[in-house]
Amino acid sequence: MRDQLRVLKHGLIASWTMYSAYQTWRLWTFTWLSRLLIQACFYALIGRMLGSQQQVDYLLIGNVVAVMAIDATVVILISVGERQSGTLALMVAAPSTHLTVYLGKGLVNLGSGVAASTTAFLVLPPLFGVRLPWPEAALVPLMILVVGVSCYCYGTCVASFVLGFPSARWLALNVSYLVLMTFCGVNVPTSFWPDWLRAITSVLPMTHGLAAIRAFIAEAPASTVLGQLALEVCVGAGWLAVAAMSFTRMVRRGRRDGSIEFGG
Amino acid sequence: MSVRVQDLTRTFRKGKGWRPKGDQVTALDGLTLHVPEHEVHGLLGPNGAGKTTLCKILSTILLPTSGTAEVLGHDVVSGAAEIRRHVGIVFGGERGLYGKLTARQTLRYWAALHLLPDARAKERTDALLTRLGLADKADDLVETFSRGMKQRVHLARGLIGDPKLILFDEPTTGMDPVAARDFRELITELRDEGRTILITTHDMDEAEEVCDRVTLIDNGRVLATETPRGLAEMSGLHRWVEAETTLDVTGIPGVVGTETRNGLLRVKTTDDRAARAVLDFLLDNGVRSVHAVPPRLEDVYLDLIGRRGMEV
Repeated sequence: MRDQLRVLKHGLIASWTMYSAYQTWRLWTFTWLSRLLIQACFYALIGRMLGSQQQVDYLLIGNVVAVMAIDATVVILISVGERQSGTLALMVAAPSTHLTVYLGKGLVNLGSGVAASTTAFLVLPPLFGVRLPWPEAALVPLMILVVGVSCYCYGTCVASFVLGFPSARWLALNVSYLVLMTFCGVNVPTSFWPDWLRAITSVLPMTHGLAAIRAFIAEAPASTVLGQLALEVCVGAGWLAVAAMSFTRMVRRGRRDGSIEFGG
Repeated sequence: MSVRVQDLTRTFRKGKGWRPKGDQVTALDGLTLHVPEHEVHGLLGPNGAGKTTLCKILSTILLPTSGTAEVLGHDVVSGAAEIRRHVGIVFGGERGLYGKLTARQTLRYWAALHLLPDARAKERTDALLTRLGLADKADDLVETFSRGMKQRVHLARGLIGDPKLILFDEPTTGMDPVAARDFRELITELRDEGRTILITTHDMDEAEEVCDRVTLIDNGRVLATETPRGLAEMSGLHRWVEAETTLDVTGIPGVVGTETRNGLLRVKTTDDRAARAVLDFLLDNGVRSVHAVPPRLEDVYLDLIGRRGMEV
């Protein structure tokens, strides 16, 4: 366990070093964060066009949480990056667990997503007249973190599949993110979907976490909020378990078909 | 025994996708190879001979189709986890490095992946940076390094886990002559430390200089395994005698031809006995600048594999 935590730590250090080589806080703020804020504003303005503060509240909170999912699923690209930089074979031939390495290397993006989402949560609601139950609302960033971890586990799972199909990485990233945006209660309540589709959304990340945040903001009973959060944690753990199995399977397949190349 | 490979076969299907449907290609065809501990063993052969395929199987990133391969007593299929703790991989070229990390960060990262505790990782990182002449540049980004320095980072990374067996896949690719010479010295040092080294290379001089034994591979099969000198002796190739003279030696039994270049007479003989007869004749006639030249590894390689080995 200590070995795996150390791998996680050094994966994070390495990815932070590489991330900060391209990204300064100014660049992050004025390009990435502003793009995410504008996206959330766009949907909130649709709510305003519909003439309903209730719609504004729903769309804004949904999208404030959803912007984090973009970052959290970027881990899908990282898996292919290892193949492109020629480090995949070295990683597979190293004694550490492959999943831990990937988890460590994507943590920076998870942090970026949670930071963006938290900033959006602090900045945008006053602009759109969304009332929050302060000071209790200070707990929402923690809930966003829970949703972020869950989305990250989901992204890692998709990454394990993309490892075998590197050319599909952008498609996989966009589809993964859009599935969350569309079906998990961001813009459309999950109750809108037919039962079979709602059953699927219940095992997707963000569905329960977002419901917990909405319930918390609406000052619902703590049991409702905690129950939804517990479900979100379970969903995240489930995706992590599938990711672990999938990574093992993809590496086994790579060893079998020879698709793990020295130097590429 | 560090490496024990028995009747190893690996086939691939050409094509891409989940289930390629192209022709079947045999990369390794019943290959048998034994490499004892503390040996520098060279794998020589043309492109596509199966050298890298063998290294990939030994490093546990590729499964064999049939046959067995053991590394340090562990089977590459069932004992991969144990093998990974004790094997280092070094390949040539610029891939396999993160340009935005410094040399020190690179080594610390890979040390973690080799499950080294932090204190041990720091100690080995510092030691390897010093040993490979990277201490002054330890905190510079790898992307700013020359090709030779990048190769040294590759070497340091391969050694970070303190491996018992090191697989070098064409490690001197792109190295300048000075870096290549330093690399050869390092190989000798690593062997003297008790490590086993398996090295694939196209550089015959390098193989002749650093390898205790070499294996010639072609079409996935072993053609011969011997010491570089022994291989030359076994090959039955012509011996040459060189001398600064204008004497006529064509009447000596065993002489199959002569040529003169820049005043240097080169006599091609059938075997050692004929070469000795030519040497005696020249010395008896007062020629003092004279010597016999055994066939070199490159001659043996070209004789056994043919000049297509140089094709890319």
